[in-house]
Amino acid sequence: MAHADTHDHHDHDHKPAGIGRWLFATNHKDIGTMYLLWALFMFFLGGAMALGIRLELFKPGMQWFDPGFYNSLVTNHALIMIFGAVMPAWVGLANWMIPLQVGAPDMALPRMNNYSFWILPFAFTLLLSSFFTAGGAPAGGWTLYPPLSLQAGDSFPLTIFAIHMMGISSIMGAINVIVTIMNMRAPGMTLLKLPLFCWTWLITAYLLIAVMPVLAGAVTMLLTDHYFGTSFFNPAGGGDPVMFQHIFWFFGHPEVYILILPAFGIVSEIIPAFSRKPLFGYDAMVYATASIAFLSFIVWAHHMFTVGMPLAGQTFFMMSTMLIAIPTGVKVFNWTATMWKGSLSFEPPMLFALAFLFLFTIGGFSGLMLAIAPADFQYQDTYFVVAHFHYVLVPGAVFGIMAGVYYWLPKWTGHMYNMTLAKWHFWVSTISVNVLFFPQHFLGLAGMPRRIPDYSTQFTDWNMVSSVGGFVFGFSQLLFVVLIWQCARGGAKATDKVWDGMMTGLEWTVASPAPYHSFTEAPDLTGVADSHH
Amino acid sequence: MSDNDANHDPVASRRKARRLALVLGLVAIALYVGFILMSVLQASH
Repeated sequence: MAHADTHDHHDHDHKPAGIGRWLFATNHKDIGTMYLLWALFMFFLGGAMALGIRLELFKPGMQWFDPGFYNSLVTNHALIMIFGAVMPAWVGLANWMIPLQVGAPDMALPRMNNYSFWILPFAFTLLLSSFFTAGGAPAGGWTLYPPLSLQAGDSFPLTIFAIHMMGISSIMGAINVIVTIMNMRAPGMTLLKLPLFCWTWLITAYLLIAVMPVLAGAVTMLLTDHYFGTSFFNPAGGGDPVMFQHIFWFFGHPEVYILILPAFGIVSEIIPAFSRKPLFGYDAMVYATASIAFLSFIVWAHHMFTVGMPLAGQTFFMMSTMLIAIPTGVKVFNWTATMWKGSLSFEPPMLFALAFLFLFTIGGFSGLMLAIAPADFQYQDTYFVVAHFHYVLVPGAVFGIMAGVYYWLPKWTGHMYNMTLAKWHFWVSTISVNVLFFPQHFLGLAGMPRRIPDYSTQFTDWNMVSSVGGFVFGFSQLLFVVLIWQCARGGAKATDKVWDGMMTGLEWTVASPAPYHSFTEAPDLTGVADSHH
Repeated sequence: MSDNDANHDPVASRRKARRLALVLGLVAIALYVGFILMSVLQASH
């Protein structure tokens, strides 16, 4: 009988064997795992480039790299972290969790899901192979502004093609998320019963479909300017390089929210869980997310105040940018109100969510400073900008991803992880990330320009501090890898509910580890009261 | 907000999903072409 039970269990949980399981994967959990491992690999690759940058900047003078290679490190660090690490990590989390959260057996379009993932290794092979071309890897910054980007050597078409492929991958992933949420929800799961992670990802997916084609259009035009004699961005032929900046940032600003909105969703799930209270203002959170997404389309020129635009333009983009503080403030106050009089506990996911709350808000405030057009004239292209967007992206987006991994890892592996190691990872990361980035505010305000391999000696002290923080932060991420490895290999058995908190999502109703095929029959939520209202 | 019970019928919901995916894909292609055409107009001004 025991044998029969085991046999049945295996049949139910049948996995394809060998490499084919991964190459031809259509299971959302397998594809989610591949995305997350890919993102982790890219996080270390982009991180190694960041350590190269901090090594060079440890003291003034040229130490390790020639300036062209330094610029390549800066450019590729950004491209890899944005398109190779953070975005795939979100798609990985979406793959793993959205079907589980909406009660669907899989993503709606599993084969397209496979293509979305497998495009990425090809795209990044192209991008990274450019390091071995004549003239080296792209070095004009991830924004690819012409005319500088047009001066690249043989790396140029590789970079452009790689960006097209990353865009196609992202658009296919976004389409899958939208159609899964819109069409595969369990009966009775109305849109306003969706977990916030699904809501924020749904809005993110619409942003992706709206703006990735714009980036593709911009880089296609760069390509035709370079090789086919067009003059979109070339004044000699009647074009305008500033037009590229407008088009790029029409993509680029929503892209910032693509990187951060899913983190808002994860934090909106973790804080109620470990406060043991329903999320304060669920509907307001949804509408605030949608408002942020809408506003992200009308603020793009705050990235280019110094190109010389009419006063009315500056005023419009200044005001519209400041408006974003309103829905963002709604979120921050709602998270705080959720904790108010809650029964708080501080497990690793909650620690990362709280660090996110404080540190992302610092990034938000420096963003408000940058939004003020006359002040921005001083801050433009200084390390203040670098400090600002790294606060938003590292203790913001990356901590959001880590919070999500720490929250759901036991659900994925079926094992609890080493809590002591996780807390070490949290504290060392949180302290070092501030040592790394906070001094960059001072450097920027003192006038240190960004994207330079050498600097005036007056900036030495804070650069040394920042570099020390950078190396501690970078190496502390090895703790994360060790923890994940240990948790995948074994450990205390996780219960289905995993945490002693107030978790309401459907993912906590399936076994830990989540069976290979879950929700083969949709759960019926008709008439079930939602926990948000 | 109305209850979406599309997944009462998995076949129908997948069909609807494919149709929506097609529309979204076409929107993406239209945006790509549209932005290039807009830039052509702007550059030939």
